[in-house]
This record gives sequence, C-alpha cells and structure tokens, in this order.
Amino acid sequence: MKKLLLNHRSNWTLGLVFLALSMVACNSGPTLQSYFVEKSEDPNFISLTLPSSILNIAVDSLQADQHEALATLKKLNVLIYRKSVNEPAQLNVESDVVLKILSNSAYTELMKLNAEDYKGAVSYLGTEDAIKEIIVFAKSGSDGFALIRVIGDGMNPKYLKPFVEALQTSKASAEDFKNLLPDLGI
Amino acid sequence: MKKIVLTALLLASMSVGFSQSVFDKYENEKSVSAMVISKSMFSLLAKFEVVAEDKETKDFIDIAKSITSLKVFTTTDKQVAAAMSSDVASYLKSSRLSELMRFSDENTQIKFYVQEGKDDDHVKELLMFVSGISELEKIDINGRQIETVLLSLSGDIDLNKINALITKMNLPQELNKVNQKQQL
Repeated sequence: MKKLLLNHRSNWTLGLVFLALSMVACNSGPTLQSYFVEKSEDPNFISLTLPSSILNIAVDSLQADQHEALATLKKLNVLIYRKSVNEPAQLNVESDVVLKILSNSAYTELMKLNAEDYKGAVSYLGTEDAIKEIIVFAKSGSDGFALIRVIGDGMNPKYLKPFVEALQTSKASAEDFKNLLPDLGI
Repeated sequence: MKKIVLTALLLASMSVGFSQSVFDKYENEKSVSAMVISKSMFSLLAKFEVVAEDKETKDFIDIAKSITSLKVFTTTDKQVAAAMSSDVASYLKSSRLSELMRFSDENTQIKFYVQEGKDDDHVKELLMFVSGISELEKIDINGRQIETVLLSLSGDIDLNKINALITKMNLPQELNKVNQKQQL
C-alpha cells in the first residue's frame, strides 16, 4: 500500500511537471502580427502600411533578375510609438513588449546595436534562402521607437544586388513620401 | 523517475545559463556602444556577394562563413572600462584563452587573446582588448573619444583573412595588428 501510494504521488508530481511545461509551451504570448493589429487602434501609436508599388518602379524595363528580386517584396508595415510627455515610463514598457516578442525563437536574430540612448535590432522570419519577413526595431530614449516589418515572399540574400539596382530606377520622389506625412501628424 | 525529471530540468536550465557570456551585460549598458552580430547575419553577408572576383571579397566570404559571433563594445566611461577590464581578467581565468601578444604604445595598450584552432592560422576565439586610446590620440567616432574597446570573435577564424573583415565591416583598425606577429 505504501509503495502504491508512493507511486501514485510520483505520478502526480510528474503530471504537474508536464502540465507546467505544456503551459509554458502554449503561452507563447502575442505575435508581432497580433501586436501590430492591436496597436494600430491605439492612439499612442502611428501605424501605416506601404505597398511595394509606392516605389514607383517601371517593372517592364527591369532585367529578369531585378524583376524577380523586386517581386519578392510585398509590403512594409510600420509602427511608430512616440514618447508621451505625461507617461515617459511607458516607452520602456512598450519597447520591452516588442523585444520580448522578438526574443521568440521563431525570429532569427541578425544584429543588435546599442549606443547611449539609442537601441537597434534586426531579425528575420523564415529561412536564409526564403525570408518571409525582415524586422527592424529602432529606439531612442528621448523620442520613442519604430518597428518596421519588411514583408515579402521568398526574399533571398542573392537578390540584394539586383534589388538595389531596381531601386535605382525608382521614380518615387521625396514628395511622394512627404505627402504621406501630414496624415501621420509628424 | 522524479529524480530524473528534476535532473533533466536542472540540466536544461543550466545549459541556458551557460550559453550567456560574461560580457552580455554590456549590451544594454547606457555608457557602452555595443554591436552584436550573429552567425545568421554573417551567413547572409556571405551570400550578398554573388560574384567574388577580387581577393578581398573572396576572403570576406570565407571568413564570414566561419564566424559564429562578433561582439564589439566601446566605452568612454572610466568606471565601466575598469569593470570591463576585470571581467576580461576573470573570463581569461575561466576560459581556454591564452595571450597571443600585446602592444604597448605610451598610453595605449592592445592585447590579443586566442583559443587555438585546427592549425597555426586558425583560432576558435579571438579577444581583443584596447585601453587608453583617447589619452594618446583623439580618435573621433561620431564625435566621441574612445577609451576602451573590447572585441570578441568566435568561429573557425583564419587570421590571414581578418583584414578583409575589418575593411568590409569597418571594424577597429587595431584588429589588424593580430597579423603582425606572423609577418615578423
């Protein structure tokens, strides 16, 4: 009986451990996508989506590899948080949420930079030869932070050169971007 | 059974702890400029260069493929520099690094430590510690004088190809001195 009881107890402990482990595994928290969706409705954030067509590139005149490279870029999602005068501490609270999401193992960390009041990080989602998303995080302790998602389909490092070449044929002017700014209140 | 589970959990948590480096705390220190570049980034950088015609690009692709991590910390804060110096000292005791060489130049000291690799040209880890630059010459990077530089490079690194890495990635020129011994 004693032995049986002991067995029963150790099974119980084992069960608890597995339960705890499975809870940790399931509770992965918000994803970057759900964070973007949530914050796009938050008045403290500015959110915008830029389609790749804003680059205004005459696709027909591109060479095959440039065309291919450009086709892997779909859109840019940008989220900006401006530091609030009334709640300055909120900046770190918000940026910590983002950094926690980015620390998820699904995101491959490329680099981190830190200098005085500035902080930057670049990660990607996907595999090395088929990148789904490049995520750039930049924070200034005095102004706020920006989170940029470059969303694509099969972005590949070999496309970098033809992509830059294609960008050089862009007819988009600074005016195009300036026209966007009044809507953002910048 | 319970013991096995507990041991496994303990081991798992320990291995997480060990993967941290003593220098990680400087990544978020305000008075430190930090740059941390991962293996994945180097692996991508190697693929950016589609055609390698010159030797420097070829060397860069080779060395980029072999690096598993690069960390550069610079500070002008004397207290932080002192803490870095003592962290380097304690790290050297606990790791398998040995001093490769040192250069002293009035107020500037450059020290190189390495963990030997598969042959004389290769190292598994390279640590460079430069102190006191600003007292000697005013090196200006973004309007700041650099006092102390700690650079850590890991992988399977061919010292002969370090120069390509410095040029392509704009790393501190002091790193080039690592090859002086071989030329003597």
